[in-house]
Amino acid sequence: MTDRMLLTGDPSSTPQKHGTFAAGDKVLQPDGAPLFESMPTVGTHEMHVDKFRTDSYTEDGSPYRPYKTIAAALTYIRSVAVALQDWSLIIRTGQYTENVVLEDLGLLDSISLVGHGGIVGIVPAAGNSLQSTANNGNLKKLRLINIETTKPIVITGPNGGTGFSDVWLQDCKLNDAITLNCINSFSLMGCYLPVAISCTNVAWFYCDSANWGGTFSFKCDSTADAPSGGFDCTALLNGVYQTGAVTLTKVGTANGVVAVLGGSRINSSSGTIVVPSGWTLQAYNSFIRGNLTNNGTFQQRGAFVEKVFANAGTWTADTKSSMLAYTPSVAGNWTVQPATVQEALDMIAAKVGPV
Amino acid sequence: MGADHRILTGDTTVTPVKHVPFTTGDRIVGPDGLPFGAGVVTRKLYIDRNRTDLYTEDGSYSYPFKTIQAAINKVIANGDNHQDRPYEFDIAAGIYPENLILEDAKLVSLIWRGRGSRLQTQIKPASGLALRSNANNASFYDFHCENIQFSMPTEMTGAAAGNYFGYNFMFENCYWPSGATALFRNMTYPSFFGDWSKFSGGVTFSNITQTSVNNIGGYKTSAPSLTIETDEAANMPYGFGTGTAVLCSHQRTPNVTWSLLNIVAKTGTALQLRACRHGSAGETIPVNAQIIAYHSSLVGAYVVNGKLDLYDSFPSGSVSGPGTISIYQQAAHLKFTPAVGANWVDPDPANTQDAIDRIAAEVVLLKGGPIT
Repeated sequence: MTDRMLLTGDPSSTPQKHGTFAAGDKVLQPDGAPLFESMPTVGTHEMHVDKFRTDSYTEDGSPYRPYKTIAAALTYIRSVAVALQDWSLIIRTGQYTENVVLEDLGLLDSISLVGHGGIVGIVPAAGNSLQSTANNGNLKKLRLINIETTKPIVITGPNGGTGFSDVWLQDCKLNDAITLNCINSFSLMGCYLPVAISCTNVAWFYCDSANWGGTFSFKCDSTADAPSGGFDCTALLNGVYQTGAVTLTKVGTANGVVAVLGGSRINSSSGTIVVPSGWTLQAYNSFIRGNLTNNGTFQQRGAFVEKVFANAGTWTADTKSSMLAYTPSVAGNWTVQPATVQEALDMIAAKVGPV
Repeated sequence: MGADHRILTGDTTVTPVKHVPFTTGDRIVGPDGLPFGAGVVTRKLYIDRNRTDLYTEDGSYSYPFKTIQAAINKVIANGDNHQDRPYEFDIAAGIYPENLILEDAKLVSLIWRGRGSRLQTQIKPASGLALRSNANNASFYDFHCENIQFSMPTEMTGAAAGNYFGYNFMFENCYWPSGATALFRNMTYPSFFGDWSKFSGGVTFSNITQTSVNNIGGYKTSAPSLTIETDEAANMPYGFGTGTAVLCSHQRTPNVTWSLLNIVAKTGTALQLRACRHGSAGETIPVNAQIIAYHSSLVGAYVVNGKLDLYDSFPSGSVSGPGTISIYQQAAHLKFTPAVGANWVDPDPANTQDAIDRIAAEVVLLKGGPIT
């Protein structure tokens, strides 16, 4: 291959002769850089990463000269980012054997890791696929889209911090445990995760449309570090198929709300969910496997518990017998035909006398 | 724009060529005269308002438009937009202070993709509408709008009666924040979905053949208002059945403001709920309106003047009124296992229906007459 230096821009007064191009020849700018290949980074907050580029070039994050590692792109962002900027890493399909570490106060506001052209694996040999446990107080939004992890995700925010207001994993496959401490908001949407999730003082935990094959530990602890959103936390599970044991833990005065919604199915068949005093479990149109012991408040709306329900707290049930249709099989047994189970039982009780 | 400098690659020239200096705005063009590195993909247009350098915008990756409206105008000018020739807009993250207008018969099929999340790409004019399509839109069939926040109100109204406007409209992970109302009128099948879609400014569906609103906002927050309107004196779209139909799934839905105007034949304006938590303080369903609930929870008391269908769905309060109330959760489907088997002649009743039937028969024998 031959590099052909572009002559544009030369105030040449001497006519020059051009040669013939062959396959693979490159056109270079006067500075020796490939023509146009640095332009797309002007003003953009979009960095490209492609580990399969094997040629030698000066990486600048453009589509033509992408970084070869996620870490290199993060290093660049750290060096140039200012407040209120959203940065996206467009990561070409492949398995990246890196530990993605987001621990630098220079990482500001918003970073998205977007798998491009298919799911992207973050598959280090050891350690964590994604880690942010220190020096992360300035990182407010973190998004992973079309990403697969094979090692743990560990995120710990600073005490009282306003960071991690929007951690968002969409269409991801998460193959190892997720441990979250002291952050404001964590959302999973459309994810497959055959793993355990452990939350301590996660002000908002949100899981939607997920196939979740592991356990769920949700802990609110007034004696531990808490984010700006506080230690009274809320978990929302919407349209989730979850199989492992669910453990709700109260430490000190911290209270939690867990809402199981939208056709979800949670808990292991042999497990017992214990709702602590001061906590609320809302089950709407969902199914709770195993057993349930309520020491707080249980709101049951169109939802069912598989096995034993022991109530020592406040129980509200909207799955009422007055909303269950009953049509007598033998109409002649009734003077007025009851329309619901409630009506039938009331009429029988009245006929029999005190029961 | 400056001069074009034609690149000489591939030339086997025996005659020396003299070059001239570049000035700001000059372009390098290929042998075909098109900007080098541009114009290769003709129906994918890039928009990036972050670019501050000077160049001639053509929608290529290297020379993106700096406004979305410029890209819309480019599509109109090209005049070749068709259902099998859609234009895709790749919109870089940023705040676009524009009043976008989609009102031209040459607009047929558009795909807009905001880079990043719906919070990162915002249409935010200082005043007026963020998005408008109220005229010359009878041919506008396909619109897939993804990851965009409309920070000011949106109005989309089919301009003609019996039109297909909105036939294949999909808003995915789009967000209307507080204060940004959304009005969709005289449209066929617009749909809204995505966990991070939200109508925080309230939404009105008026004369819509059928709209699907799926998983908007999950249960995290609900839209502050939902207005469902049917007006037979106004234009009605293609396929308009018995009234506006709104289908909601897996979300928290607000109480409905029903608007039924000039009703003659369209007597079935409906809200259908699937695995939703609906309302907050009960609701009155007017004549000619209905709620059909599947596996949903309805909060509060319901006064039914129209219709209420409950399929495995349970209101928390009472249900009353002169309208039609249909309950489809049957006693026969509720399992019953006697705690004391000896109280029953074998075989034991297997469900609530059996148990009540047998108790009723026994009471009739014991009391010498039917249960009153």
